[in-house]
Amino acid sequence: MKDKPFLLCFLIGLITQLSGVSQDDSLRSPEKTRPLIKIDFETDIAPIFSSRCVECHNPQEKNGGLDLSNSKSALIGGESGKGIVPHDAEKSELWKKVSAREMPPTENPPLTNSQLQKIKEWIASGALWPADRILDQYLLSTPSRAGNDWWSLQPIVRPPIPKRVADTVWKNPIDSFVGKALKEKGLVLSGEADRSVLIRRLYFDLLGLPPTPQHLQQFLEDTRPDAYQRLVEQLLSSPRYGERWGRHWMDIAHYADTHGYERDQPRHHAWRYRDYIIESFNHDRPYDQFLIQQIAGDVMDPDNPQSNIATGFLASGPYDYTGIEEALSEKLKRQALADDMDDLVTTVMTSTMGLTVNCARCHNHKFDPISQQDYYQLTAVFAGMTKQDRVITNLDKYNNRKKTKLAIRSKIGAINEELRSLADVFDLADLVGGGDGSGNAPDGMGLDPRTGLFAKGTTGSLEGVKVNHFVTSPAACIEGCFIPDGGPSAGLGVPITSGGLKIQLPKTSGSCWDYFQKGPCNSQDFTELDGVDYNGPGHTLLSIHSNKGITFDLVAIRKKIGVRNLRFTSTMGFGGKHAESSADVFVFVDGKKVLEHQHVGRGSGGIPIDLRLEPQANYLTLVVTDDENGIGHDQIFFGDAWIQSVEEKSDLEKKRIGDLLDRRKELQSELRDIIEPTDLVFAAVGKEQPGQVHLLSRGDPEARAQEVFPAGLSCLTGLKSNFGSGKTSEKERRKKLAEWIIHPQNPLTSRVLVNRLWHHHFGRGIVKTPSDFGFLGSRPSHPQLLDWLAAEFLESGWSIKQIHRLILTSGTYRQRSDFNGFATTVDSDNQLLWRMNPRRLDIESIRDAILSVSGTINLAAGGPGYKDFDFVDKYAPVYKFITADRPELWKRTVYRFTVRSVPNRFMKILDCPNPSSLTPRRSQTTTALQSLSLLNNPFMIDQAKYFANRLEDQQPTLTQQVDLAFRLTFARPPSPQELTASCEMATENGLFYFCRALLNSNEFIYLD
Amino acid sequence: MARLTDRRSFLWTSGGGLGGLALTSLLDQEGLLTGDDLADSQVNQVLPHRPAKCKSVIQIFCPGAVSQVDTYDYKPELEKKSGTAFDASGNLKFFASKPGNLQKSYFKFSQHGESGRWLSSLFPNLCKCVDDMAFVYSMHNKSALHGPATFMMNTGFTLPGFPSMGSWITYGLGSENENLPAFVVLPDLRGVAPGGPANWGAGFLPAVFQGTSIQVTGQGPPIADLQPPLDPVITGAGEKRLRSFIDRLNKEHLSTRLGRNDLEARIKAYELSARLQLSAPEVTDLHQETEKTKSMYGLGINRFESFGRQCLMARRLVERGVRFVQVFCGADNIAPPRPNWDAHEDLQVNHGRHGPVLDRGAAALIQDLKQRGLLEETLVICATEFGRQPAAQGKGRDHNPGAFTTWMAGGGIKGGVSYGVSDEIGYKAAVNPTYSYDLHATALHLLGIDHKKLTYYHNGIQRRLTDVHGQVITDLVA
Repeated sequence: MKDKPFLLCFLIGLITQLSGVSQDDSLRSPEKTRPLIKIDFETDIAPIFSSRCVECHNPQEKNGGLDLSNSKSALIGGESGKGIVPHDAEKSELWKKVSAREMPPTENPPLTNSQLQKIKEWIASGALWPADRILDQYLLSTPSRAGNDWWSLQPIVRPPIPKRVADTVWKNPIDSFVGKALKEKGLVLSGEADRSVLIRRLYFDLLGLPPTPQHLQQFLEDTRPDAYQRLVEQLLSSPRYGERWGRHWMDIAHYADTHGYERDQPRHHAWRYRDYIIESFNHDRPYDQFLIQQIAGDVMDPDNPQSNIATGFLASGPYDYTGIEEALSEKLKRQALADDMDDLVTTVMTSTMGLTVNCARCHNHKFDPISQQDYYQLTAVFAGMTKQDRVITNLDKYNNRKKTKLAIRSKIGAINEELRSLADVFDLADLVGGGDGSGNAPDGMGLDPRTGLFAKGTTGSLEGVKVNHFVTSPAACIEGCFIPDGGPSAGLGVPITSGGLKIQLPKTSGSCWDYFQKGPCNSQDFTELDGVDYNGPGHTLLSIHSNKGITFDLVAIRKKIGVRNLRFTSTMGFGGKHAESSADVFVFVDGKKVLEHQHVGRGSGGIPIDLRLEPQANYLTLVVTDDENGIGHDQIFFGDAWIQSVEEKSDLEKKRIGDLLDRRKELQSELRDIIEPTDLVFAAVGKEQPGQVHLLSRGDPEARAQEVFPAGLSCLTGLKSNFGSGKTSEKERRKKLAEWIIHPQNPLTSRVLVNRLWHHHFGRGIVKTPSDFGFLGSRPSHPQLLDWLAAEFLESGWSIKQIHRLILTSGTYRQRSDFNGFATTVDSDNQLLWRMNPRRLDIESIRDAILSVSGTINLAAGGPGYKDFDFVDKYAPVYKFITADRPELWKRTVYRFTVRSVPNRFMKILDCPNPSSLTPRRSQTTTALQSLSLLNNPFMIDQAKYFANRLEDQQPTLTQQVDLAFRLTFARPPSPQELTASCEMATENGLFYFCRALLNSNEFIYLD
Repeated sequence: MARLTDRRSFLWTSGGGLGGLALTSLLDQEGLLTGDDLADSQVNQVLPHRPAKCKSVIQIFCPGAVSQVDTYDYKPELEKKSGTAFDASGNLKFFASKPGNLQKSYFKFSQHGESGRWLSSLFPNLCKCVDDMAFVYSMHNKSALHGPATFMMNTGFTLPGFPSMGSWITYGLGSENENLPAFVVLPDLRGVAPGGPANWGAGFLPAVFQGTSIQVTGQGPPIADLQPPLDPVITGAGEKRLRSFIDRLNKEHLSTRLGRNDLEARIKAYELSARLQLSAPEVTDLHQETEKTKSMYGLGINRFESFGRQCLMARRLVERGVRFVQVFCGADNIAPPRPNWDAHEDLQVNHGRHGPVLDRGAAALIQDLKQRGLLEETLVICATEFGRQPAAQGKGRDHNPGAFTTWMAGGGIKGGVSYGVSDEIGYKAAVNPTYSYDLHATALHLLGIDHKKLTYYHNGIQRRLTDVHGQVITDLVA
């Protein structure tokens, strides 16, 4: 059945007054032809022009040179001649074109004969058109597009509740609306579903989890008349509720924990916004507040951390780091920024108001009354905003934390001091990281081999390299460094000290990759050798990616340690991935080669180094060259590259060293605990006074047209949509937009939200396209019900839980989902809701239900997302998914650290949406690959085992175990036949196989 | 393909789908798809829109950006001007560098075949195939960044979240073999392309249309989770009983729920998955191939082995009715030596490494398809995300979105011809500049699909692979 668009009658009653008529005399020469019928411009002509002509013939878009939006330009006409010649239709180009059916263009419905007649007579009668009457192409809807009179843009009018359908027990107004529509087709609501069906439906709907057997039993035995209402209340107040419904909001905010694109970097602090969403649902934060905080919380309430966190909404989408921050070309940057802005504007407008403004980026919206001007005015709202980590703590807390950290750091410093005097261990890795050898180097610093200076981070291949050029380092214990090429260019040798000491080395490619780094370098794949991870606690790692050499100043080091007789000890190896690549490694003391390892590769394992450094030795030099096969993957590293005393320690000293190391470990972990919740969130930051914003022709950032100023959409004619001028501050702009969106007279915001709630409760919205209330969206199946719910919502003070209550306690929601032959022939798609829609669980619910049934679920709420992958930090970071096999990975799926570039295959196959897509409604598929995933994925095998163990732990006999399994998975006991068959299967093949079968069954995956 | 009028039969066909259901599977088991949607949406279409020239597509993608001036696009003028300044003003900035002097091709060009097409010495085998190949010399891209540009070539958009060409095609046409996925990806062993699996993702299309990745190593299961992991609790008898017990549970559950096609579909999907457990190992078992065939693809030679296996597998897949096979010749930037064509540092070394690999595999693929009579019905496309600059970046070349070359063969494409011209030094597309849109429109056309009519409603727009652009390159269509 196809809905009819709501074309509201547009009445303009008044006859044009002569005083308002054009001054052009030719428009009213009375002695020419007399009209047959009285034609009125406002009622007869303006609707035709504005709905059928002005879209292509307006001041901005003069097709054929014609602008038909006002009388003056209509008279002038276009390229083919005068548009309108009053009293003479045959000479009017307009009439020639429409009468020849050339206009409107043939792909559109033609004008009707009566419309043609009216135009002809209007011209004949003198073409009266008031000079100040300018036609708006968006005034009226047409068969092919929506205008300002579109149903969803009209004010919400609380409709009267229809009379209760006589034969129903339900008193909920929703049932009156639904019942009335059903009755018109000769249908009625289905009866109430069984309690075991209802509790399962409610649990999954509100919490995304199955009911426990205990809760099931309690509900079945609860004889109080309001047992159902009590259950609804109980679930609405569960903290699990926010985890379920927050996930729905995350879908339309397209939340994820990484940037996406080529350099898909992690956002370590995005999760606070996710927790904010969950908490907002749990506390039933009024929806208007929820929105205003997300769009302008930092402006409205800057001292409230939650308000700042909320703006994570504006930063929740993907971010093209390479394009916006790394590209050298300004043109590329402008394009990347324009794309980013588009995503932002689209997210805000589709999620809150269900309007697809993004369609007006390159041209006026083809279907909705949204102009390109409207679109760029919205971009002006966000013009001064960037996405980045922002501090959300209040200053006192922040300072206190800083003080505590300082105190712990000074304790660690004292321990380091004592350790140095006791153990004399002096760490070369710490030196290149900018430390003093005791382990106090800051994170992420490295030594640039081109300059000998410390610098943050690395970018890969180094440009501007000068080979065989020794640079001195200002660091106390480092003499300096160099990039070697022992080929002909080296002449007498490669200099390794400031004094010009030279050594012989093999020929190299002369290029260099990465800095000297404490810890793994940018591109390193491995940090472990022979089972020891040198990037782990208790170890240090000095990374030297070829071609590089560094010379340490032993005199200075000796002075620091205060010991004359030293050793250099380390385990050296290859950190790259590729077998084909290898490197040569050399160690020199005072220019004398003391160690040489050729062709060090992935297969070389850990090479132990233990070198005695004589008291008179001055320089220790480490060199890595590329083995003449390219710098490749030659990420050589020295594990525990330590200078230490040769003397043996006494037992007492050894014990003291051990104690100090333990204590330092404790302190370091304390420190980490404080650092961890660095109160940051990835969110919106209002940066500056926004610059000029222009309309971009065809959406091209290089084609700037007129300047635009912040404003809302003009199609909501009842609202003031001007947000200021070019001088308005960044903050003020967002605040104005937020206030405009939540204005009680904005008819979309409340309609869109109640429809989203309905969508999730019934599997289909009253409007089936929850983020598109425009022309291409679907029309409401129950328009009056939608408005009634929206009115209730506003009256409740924007309480989402109140709307849940209304819906959940209705008979419409409590119906059975059974088949009904007659109803199917009348309304096969159940648009009118003669039954509950049976539904399949989404992937989050499936995974949470599996964990819940097997008893492994970890209900710890909030905090950084669980990471079910191995992470390798590289130029393009690598995420390798692993099987979730420990409790911290068994948290609810909403707490997953969501990676944009690489989907978790298990989740994706089971229809988890792409986190870069705005997903108002999830699609579901049924495929053989899904069956394979649920049958064979190691996660499923593990969980089936845990499930079996749980049954054995909790019940003594097989019969009882099978009974419990059915209650856990299906919220019902087995039938006698099922019990027999299950026991037989479990006996022959084991409980594990029985459990695996239940987790794969349709009954587990579907709701009635 | 039947017109979608009967919801019931439509859900039946959807049942299984290894991606083989096509348009008809514009399903929505939740009942979201209603009369309204059907009327407003794409399902009114009858596919194919016109008689198809080919049945399947093999797309070879070379991530990192292949240098057109060192491979396919012969530029005598660049040779003449080599060593002279490219940008005298000094204002120009490329992606990662300022342009150096003009640099002629590192590899010698010569003419081949009856058509006399120019190819560089990097391609000693492909040069024997030129009379079957058609070149587009005037490709350009909207982005100069690997991620977005790769997205554009594969999805038509520089932003993430859009369906890939393979997804659109399987959405439109489904598969001819219901025991195999309709859209298969054969990734480079060293890693995925820039932007990751989004390059074969379904975007906003239902997940069933995403590419299925098949491992070509010959070790381990070809498809993830095809078999349960090795575990003492897993037994052959247990697996058999498991399937029959699930089937029994599901059929009993169904018996009290009339009219539930979605439940029936899921039962069918389990049956299909059992068949896939047999068909997937069969298609990936290269032992059935003759030694002659294997050596043609370079199997047994270390550096050709991996890509050779991918190409041979691609042929086996289309032979069995798989609709779209995407073969990657390169991975994302990880560390040098870059496992892709992104020759910033040293073009001679980089392309010298990757050129012969592509050459051996792609030439073998074309010749093998031809000798089996499959080339006519299989469109081979070889693409990359953009080109490289005619000016030097040290010993390498920087990104050039302004001009690059793509070639096609078979599947209704004329052989030995070309379309478009880049300027005299290969810096910008000069005649008939071509975005991915025209390439995609042409591929769809050969498959019998009108690119303007293959649409899917998403967030306010009837989306297309070609956005609002695209023209079939009729010059190249036989």
